[in-house]
Amino acid sequence: METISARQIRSAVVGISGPHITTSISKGVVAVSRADGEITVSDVGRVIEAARTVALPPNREILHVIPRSYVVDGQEKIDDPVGMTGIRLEVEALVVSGATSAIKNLTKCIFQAGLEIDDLVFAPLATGYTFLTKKQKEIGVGLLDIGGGTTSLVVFEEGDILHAAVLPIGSGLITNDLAIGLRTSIETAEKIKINYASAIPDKIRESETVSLAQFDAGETEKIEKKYISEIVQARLGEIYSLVANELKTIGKDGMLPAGVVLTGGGSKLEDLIEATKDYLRLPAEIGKQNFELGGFVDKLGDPVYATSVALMLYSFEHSQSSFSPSEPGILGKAKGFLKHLLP
Amino acid sequence: MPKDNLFVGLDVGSTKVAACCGEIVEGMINICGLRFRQFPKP
Ligand SMILES: Nc1ncnc2c1ncn2[C@@H]1O[C@H](COP(=O)(O)OP(=O)(O)O)[C@@H](O)[C@H]1O
Ligand SMILES: [Mg+2]
Repeated sequence: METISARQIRSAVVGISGPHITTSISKGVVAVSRADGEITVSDVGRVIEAARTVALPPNREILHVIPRSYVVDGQEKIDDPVGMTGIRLEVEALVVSGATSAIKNLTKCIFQAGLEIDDLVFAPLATGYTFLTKKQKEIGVGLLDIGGGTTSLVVFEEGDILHAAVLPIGSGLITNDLAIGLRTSIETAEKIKINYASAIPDKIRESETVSLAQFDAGETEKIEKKYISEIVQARLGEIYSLVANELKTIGKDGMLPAGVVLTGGGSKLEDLIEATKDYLRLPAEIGKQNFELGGFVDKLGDPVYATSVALMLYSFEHSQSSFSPSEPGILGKAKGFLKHLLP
Repeated sequence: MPKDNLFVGLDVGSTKVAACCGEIVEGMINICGLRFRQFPKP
């Protein structure tokens, strides 16, 4: 990386994900500090900090406390209470936490590689901030990242994060199924998946076949393309039933007007968009970042890079907000998040 | 916050690590590096 950018890399915004990541709702309450009752940025910082003091088991650590809405003297659903007048300020926040061991292992790896960590961010969150439009987040949208070992889902509504989950199942299992079903090596199965598999077997004519000889000189077998896609479909069905279940827990099964936006290498599977629409009964599209960027832009549309691009943009956005001297420490951070949610 | 005009995102995924470097050139974010490397299979 340093050689292509011809620059020395000292630090990075690092994305963390995995099934150990969970979310919960937390509430915080503080008394407004100014005598005249005007709510300040510092009150908002204190109330978010109060929401952070949630009882977590000792083996878990908080990654993010994301304010969803504020309550001022019983008046609910306030997006930005700064400047309002009141006595009691409450916040409802989404707390994203992860396993301490996983966080420690990751940070240790990064330090051993000689890098400093600017920020540790739940990766799909950063992707959601930069790959979803304000409008999508307002009307309701899900970001679905299909990776190799995991599939992650982040749901936004009314501009706020509603839910996040990481499922312990990804596109790598499709490869494994193909290797078992077609009796090939994992390497061959991976090539078959990338080059010949479709998410919708009905799209393939019975007569179409794939010769295994092109992957392995010792092989003579021909495989029906339809059979390949049937194997893929079975596992994809399982992934999508887990996703639908997650959506059901928040009452959003088939109910996200802006649909789902797909990222991750697994989203490159042929006909996946159409299959996603069928499985989830929602609109679906491949994610695109919303910034105007220069440089190596040709690869930017590749969903494999979505998360790293999002984390880079997150780094940029946060540096912008923390340049302001009036927003130090956690306040700057809270503001940074607010900036994404309420631009 | 990065110490210089270089923004780096490091995505440690379940099967690969991907890095994206960006710098500000003439007011625009310029992608100066984009790479990924698959984890070795266990
Ligand atoms: N063209 C493609 N078609 C189908 N699957 C693909 C394609 N390219 C990559 N994949 C799959 O994407 C997965 C890796 O996705 P990625 O987002 O890089 O994972 P992670 O971030 O979890 O490490 C692998 O299982 C790989 O087989
Ligand atoms: Mg990933």
